[in-house]
Amino acid sequence: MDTFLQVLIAGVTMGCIYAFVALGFTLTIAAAGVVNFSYSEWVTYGGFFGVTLYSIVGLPLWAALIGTVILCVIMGYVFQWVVFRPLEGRHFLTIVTATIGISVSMGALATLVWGPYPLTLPTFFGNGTVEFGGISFFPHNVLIIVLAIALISVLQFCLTKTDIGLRLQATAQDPDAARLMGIPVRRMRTFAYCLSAGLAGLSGFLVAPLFVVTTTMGFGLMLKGLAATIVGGWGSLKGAVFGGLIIGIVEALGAAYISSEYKDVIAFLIIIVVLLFRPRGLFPERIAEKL
Amino acid sequence: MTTQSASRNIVWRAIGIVVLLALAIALPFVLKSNYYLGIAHQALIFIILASGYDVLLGFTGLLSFGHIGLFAIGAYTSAIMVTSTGAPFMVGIMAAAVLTGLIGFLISIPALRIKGHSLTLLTLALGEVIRLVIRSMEWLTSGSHGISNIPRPEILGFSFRQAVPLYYLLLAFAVLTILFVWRLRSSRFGRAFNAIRDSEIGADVSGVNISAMKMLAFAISAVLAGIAGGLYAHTVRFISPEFFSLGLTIILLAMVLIGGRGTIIGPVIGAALLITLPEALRFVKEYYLLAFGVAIWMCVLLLPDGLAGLGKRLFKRARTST
Repeated sequence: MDTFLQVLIAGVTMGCIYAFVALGFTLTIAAAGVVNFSYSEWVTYGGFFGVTLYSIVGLPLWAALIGTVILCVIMGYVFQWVVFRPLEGRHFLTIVTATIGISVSMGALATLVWGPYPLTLPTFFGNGTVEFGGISFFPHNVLIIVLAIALISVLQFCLTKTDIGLRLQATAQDPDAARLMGIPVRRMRTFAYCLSAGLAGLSGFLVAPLFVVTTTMGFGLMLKGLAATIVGGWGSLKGAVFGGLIIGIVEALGAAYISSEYKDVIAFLIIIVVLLFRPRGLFPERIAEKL
Repeated sequence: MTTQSASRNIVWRAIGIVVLLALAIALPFVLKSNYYLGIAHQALIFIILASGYDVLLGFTGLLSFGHIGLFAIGAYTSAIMVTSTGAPFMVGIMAAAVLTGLIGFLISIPALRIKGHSLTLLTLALGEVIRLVIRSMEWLTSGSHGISNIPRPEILGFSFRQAVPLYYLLLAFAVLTILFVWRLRSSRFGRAFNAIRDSEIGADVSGVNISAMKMLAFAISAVLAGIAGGLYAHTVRFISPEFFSLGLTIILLAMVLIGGRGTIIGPVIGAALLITLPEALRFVKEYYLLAFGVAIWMCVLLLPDGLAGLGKRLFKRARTST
């Protein structure tokens, strides 16, 4: 039972990270129709920014976290003007290939700047584990879970209750109608890109102490995030959160009780099964797909 | 366009093909070292793979990210057949083609129901599952160590161990593939593929059997991937699961897109370019990748028809101005 709880905590932690990644990935799909395959590099850059600000600039860890998120938001802002605006409204194939190209370039740039060797980032609480009720766990995991709960509640509140959230939702549902209602669609999309990049920075920073920071760090996370968006429902923010949690938990349980060797296969098998039997995911968007 | 200029077009095209073929045949006389010939081998194999991928992507408009998985299955099938049972090379290649064709057909069945991003992600997942299963099935594939010492091809007692004969063998396979794809494009099936790409609903109401045609496109491109995989295993003589990663999928996609999708010459140009360029620019590898990524992005935005389309446009402009 204790091992089960321990595995569950690890699973929920990874699930929260996957949920962040999936949320950021879904935001640009919902708001601008852009499937951003360079998102993996955004997450990687989050980790690298964190390491740079902490180890090289010498900021305290919490300031490095805030700095990372700010840097990523700026990156998202610049990228949306240069890279993504020409892609909006294009065919899926075009968008996917173009963003993959950007991802290749960003990966090469990261290797040039930070080198090919893995870097590390410490946690807020050292490397010790905490014993609580017979279960031992890393405090960092609890921090991730608490942050996830807080952030997702705030996001949920902002999206459904505040003015800017409702405008963002309107943009996602029908940009033309939103524009006719006087909503600045362009600005809403910019906002979505920045939010998405901020989430990437946050997940890159938070996941860095669990693994090491390498140029390929974000790629595996993005694949899991993709799995989460498929499970949750393409373009659905609620689906992204629950999809991420489901993938994280199933993966941890599968690795512990079935086979750790096939751990990475699990997420892909989930993608395949969901696409075959519930192609629209568990929490499908109600809006019909455009022809 | 008048019939005269149309016939002149055909003459130009024929001259182009003859020149290209002559260049390809003469290449081993120029490239003396085995290193350069090795790159030429790779280019020919990827011409086969990219031409097959174009049947799916360019002809039929289906974006699959699992194609490298089929390539891997082809390579492993032939390698395992030949190294563990001592089967002849041609049997290994045939087995690879049949198995990948079958798997491509099986993949197409669930793929019929889904479109767009779902199809891409489904094939991505399938490709990764194939790679991870190959890595984990150590008893058959020796896992991440890979299979080494795969013999070079030998057909009816004639050995292709040396680099030059092997080059001509691969060239023969590549030419056959290009001929096949060319015939396919102008056939009834090729037109049906194009109709599906341009408008699936339109093709459906015009009496195209969408399901059968999609299955056929998947199976054909899978068979070509299997053959390319088998040839790869026997040419490089060492295969490991890490080679068949998503990075290779991206390179394959870039070959077809930069070359020009939906054309015959496009994948050939793309494969030749993207195999030789990284080798030539090996000393500035990261800068090459930096430029490569931006090139993909620009190519997609500015040259939707790739280099082949650009050539065609320039050719037309030169024609109209004179």
